Amino acid sequence: MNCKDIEQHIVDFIDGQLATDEGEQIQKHIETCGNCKAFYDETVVLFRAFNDIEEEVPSESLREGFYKLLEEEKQLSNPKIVQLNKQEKEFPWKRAFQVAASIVFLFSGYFLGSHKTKQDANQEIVALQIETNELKESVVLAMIENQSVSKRIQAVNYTEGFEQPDVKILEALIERMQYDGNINVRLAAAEALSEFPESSIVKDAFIEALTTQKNPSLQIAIIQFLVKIQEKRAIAPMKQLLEHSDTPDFVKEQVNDGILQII
Amino acid sequence: MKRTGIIINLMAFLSFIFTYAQEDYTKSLNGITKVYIETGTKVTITAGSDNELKFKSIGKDSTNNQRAEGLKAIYSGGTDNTGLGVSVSQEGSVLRVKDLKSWMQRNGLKIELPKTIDIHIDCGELGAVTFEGFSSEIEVNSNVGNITFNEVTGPITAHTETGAIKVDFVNVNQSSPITIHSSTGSVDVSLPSNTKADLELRSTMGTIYTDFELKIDAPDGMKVVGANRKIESKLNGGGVNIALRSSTGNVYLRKK
Repeated sequence: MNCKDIEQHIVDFIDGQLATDEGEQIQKHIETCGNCKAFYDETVVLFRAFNDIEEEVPSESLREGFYKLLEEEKQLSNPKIVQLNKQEKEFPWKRAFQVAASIVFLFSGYFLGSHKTKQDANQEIVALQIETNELKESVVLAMIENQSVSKRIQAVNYTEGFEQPDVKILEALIERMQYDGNINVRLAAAEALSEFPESSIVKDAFIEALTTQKNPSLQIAIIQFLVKIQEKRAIAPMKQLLEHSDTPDFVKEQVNDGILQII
Repeated sequence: MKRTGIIINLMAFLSFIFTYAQEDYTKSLNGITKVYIETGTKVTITAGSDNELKFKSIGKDSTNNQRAEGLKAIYSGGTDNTGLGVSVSQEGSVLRVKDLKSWMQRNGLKIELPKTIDIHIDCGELGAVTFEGFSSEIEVNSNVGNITFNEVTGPITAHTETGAIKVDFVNVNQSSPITIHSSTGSVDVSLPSNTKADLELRSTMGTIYTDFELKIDAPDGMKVVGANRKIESKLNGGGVNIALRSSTGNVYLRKK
């Protein structure tokens, strides 16, 4: 064992942690080698000095200060909870009344408004309907004199949509039924007029047409209308038709059939 | 035998040439929208491509009257300004064509008119008329003669007392109503299957036949007094009004 090894193991030797034979060897070397004896003594002194230094303990005031600081920090970061004292209050009648009133106002306003707009809309619709009817009537009156037969028939057909046509319209239709140059227009007019059996001028016109019209189809249309409305005044001119030699047999059949139905 | 055959063929060929090559009269129809025709004979009116009125193969005076040589024919109905016994005169946008000859001496008329011109024809007592290929408004009145339309579109307004009416539509003009009426004859109409129309079919004492599937709203409950035997139905959702009527004849509505 040389001085270098001693130097390495000296700390363990002092602490007594070496194997016994190793310790005895180091003990023997130290007693013989002056240098190592000196190193050993120095190290022992140093270790003793380490052991002698008292352990520093933080003071009690530091601990207190720390906790105080922590508490303060906690208080800063936590939201402040303010506890309100529960108060036994009376039911707020006044406020309830205000709310109720405002609701009532709101609804009454809505209903009033909607009712009024509905009324206005109805009035507008009625006005529009009257306007379109007038427009239709003027279209009919303008078209019914058209040079084109097809257009005249179209005008006559338009009147089917009228519920209560103007007297002017009825007169125009009667004129077409009686005097139009084209039999198809006369027939269409007779059919259109059949839609208004309540009108007395229509009834009179049909009775007159029975004596003037010579076309068998038109005669049949006229007879059918007069039979349908049970017009007693038609019986005399119908009997006249039976006596005419130029009345076709199938028209006479219709007349006979019709007279039976009226009576 | 052989020779007679050749001669007959030659004659037939010549007469063919004559009938088709002949255009006896033409008149320009500039500014004219409607043609009124009055005649008492059998008329065929075909649609042509020119804007002209043409009389075709009107035939010379068939009586070949030698006694009339040096004399001029005069008529009660008007002046013969065509040399054919026909008066043609213009009134505004209307051209009036009046056949002045008696139907006894007139063996039919062939007239060519533009496809789109409106036509009004009055067939008198015995006249009949056939139309070919018009797309304009046509109005016809006849007494006993038949009325035939081939490949037309309408609007048509036709009436005959005792004749039959036959109409073949290529398609149906939706602008204004079509009315076809025969007092005692039949009414026979063919429509394309996709025609949109408000149909009104009526036969007072006859029967109505059709191969269209018609929805018929029969009035339920009360029976109509003095039954007005009318069938109303919408075809393909409804459209232009088409009225077909006959008092004692049958009505035929065909799908094509």
